[in-house]
Amino acid sequence: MKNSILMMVVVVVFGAAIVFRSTSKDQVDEHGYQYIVDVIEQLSLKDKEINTLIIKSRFGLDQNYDELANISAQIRRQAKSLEQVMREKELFSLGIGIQNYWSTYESYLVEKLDTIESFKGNNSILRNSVNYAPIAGENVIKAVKGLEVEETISSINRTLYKYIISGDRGYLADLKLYVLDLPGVISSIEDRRSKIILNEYFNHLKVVVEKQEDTDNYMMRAINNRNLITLDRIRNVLDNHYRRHSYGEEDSSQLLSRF
Amino acid sequence: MSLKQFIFLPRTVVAIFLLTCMDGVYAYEPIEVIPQKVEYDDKKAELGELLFHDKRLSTDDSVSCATCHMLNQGGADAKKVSFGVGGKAGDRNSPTVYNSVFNFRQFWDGRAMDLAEQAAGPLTNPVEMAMKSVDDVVTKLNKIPQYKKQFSSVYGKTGISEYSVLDAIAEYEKTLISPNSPFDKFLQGDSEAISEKAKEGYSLFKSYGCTSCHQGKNVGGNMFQRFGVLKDGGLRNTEDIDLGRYKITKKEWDKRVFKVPSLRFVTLTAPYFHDGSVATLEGAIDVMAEFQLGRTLPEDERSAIIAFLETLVGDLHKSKKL
Repeated sequence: MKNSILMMVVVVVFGAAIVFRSTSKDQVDEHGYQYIVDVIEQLSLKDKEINTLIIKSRFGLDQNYDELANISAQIRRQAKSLEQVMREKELFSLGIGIQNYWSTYESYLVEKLDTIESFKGNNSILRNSVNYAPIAGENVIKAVKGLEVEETISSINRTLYKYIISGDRGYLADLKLYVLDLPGVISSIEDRRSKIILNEYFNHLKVVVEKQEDTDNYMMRAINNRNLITLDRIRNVLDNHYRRHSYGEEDSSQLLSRF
Repeated sequence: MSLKQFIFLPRTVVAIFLLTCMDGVYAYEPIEVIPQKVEYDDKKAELGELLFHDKRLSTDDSVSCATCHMLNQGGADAKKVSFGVGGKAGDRNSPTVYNSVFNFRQFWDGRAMDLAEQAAGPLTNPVEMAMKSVDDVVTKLNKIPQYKKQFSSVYGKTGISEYSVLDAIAEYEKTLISPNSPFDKFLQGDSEAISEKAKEGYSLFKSYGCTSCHQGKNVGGNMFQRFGVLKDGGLRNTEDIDLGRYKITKKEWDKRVFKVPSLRFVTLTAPYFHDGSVATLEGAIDVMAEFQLGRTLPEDERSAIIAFLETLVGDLHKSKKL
């Protein structure tokens, strides 16, 4: 009798220990899972914030890059520490593809941050020339007053103004053609001073034409980068893994077939 | 409407809409005020200050961080390029250490992401402090009882390690900021803080397009740019073969690309540019105007810009320990 009571006590204690251990393990997992999901959410939000800042910079509504640089640095740091946490929690070795998604995310992120730097460099050059080219044009018009080329330069400058005000791509196409014509115009001018001023105008006009496309391309490449989609996938994979692990909702073949 | 269509809406419509949402255009100056304080750990910074000035961090005990970043010389060394152990010449001009915490990357080519990563560079550079590795620095410091005691008091069990040495130096460098410059006071509404000439200089600085790159609280230090945007920078000096960031990334676009330097201490840190090739500020402004902005400046406008640049210098750091 004594033995069976003792046996029952041992079984109950042992059972309780197992239940407690399993519950506390779930709590730890839940806490870790929540932390990772939160960081992923923050990375997504910061990424969207970066996209807004890029657009604002492109249109001169944000005139310094401090915030863009700060958030880029924060994303880089946060991504690094998230990787560390996921590694510590052995999420890369679960066999559910997180490591592949993470590598993809990292390479997209590096690409995005590099593109942002190219965008900033080009955008600054463009901003300078867009501001100065019309002024340089007015200087040229004054210098060539009465000469045969005056009307040509006036026409170019009018097109430039129209383009800057409207952003209409048709005017940009016209400007491209003018840029091709300008070297001929410059060589037809004999006065040295006028030649220098016209050359200055030509250089800035060329920058407007070339950097407009470059800057817009970098902007679109940065905004359309697929790192956000990859982050979503990581979150989905983790979410499904956690639910399956906690409640036995899905098996892994169903989970992976989604991707 | 797709994102692309939205982005390329006629700019006037977008600009009018957004401007109506603003309090006023002048609320958005390209340059911002330097904050009064940056968060740092006081104890670590004190330790970092000792390390920053300690020549024993170099292989022959002859060079410290402060040798090239002299706090009474605007945080630089007034030399064309810096000299390290055995009088060896480096290949780049020493940038100011002041306000470097606000730079988005460190070094002229931006190869270090933060101050701690930067601190490791000179320690192990063979023409600077020439230690074989940061581990060697750790071994050397471990032989100095005062450091052993201080590190263990500040960093606990970590003691003297690669992490703690670099971290302490970085924490100290965070204290080297220069708030309260006349220009910052002007930005905060004190219209008497700078002269009329400096105000004219600021206006020219913006209208000439200098703020395309030199903007933000550090008046630079938050982007990369090619040296020679409107005229090939290589034409400036045929001996200048420094390809800048290209050496790090090997990308064509990065040839002759450098971090845009801060102008906060520009009036105190001649000579100028990554190679220290221009001795005077007047000369540096002329080079910038010609090669980066594609124009020439009349002398009176240049002197107004210098008057503005002089207003960017704020309070200098006062040492607590030394």
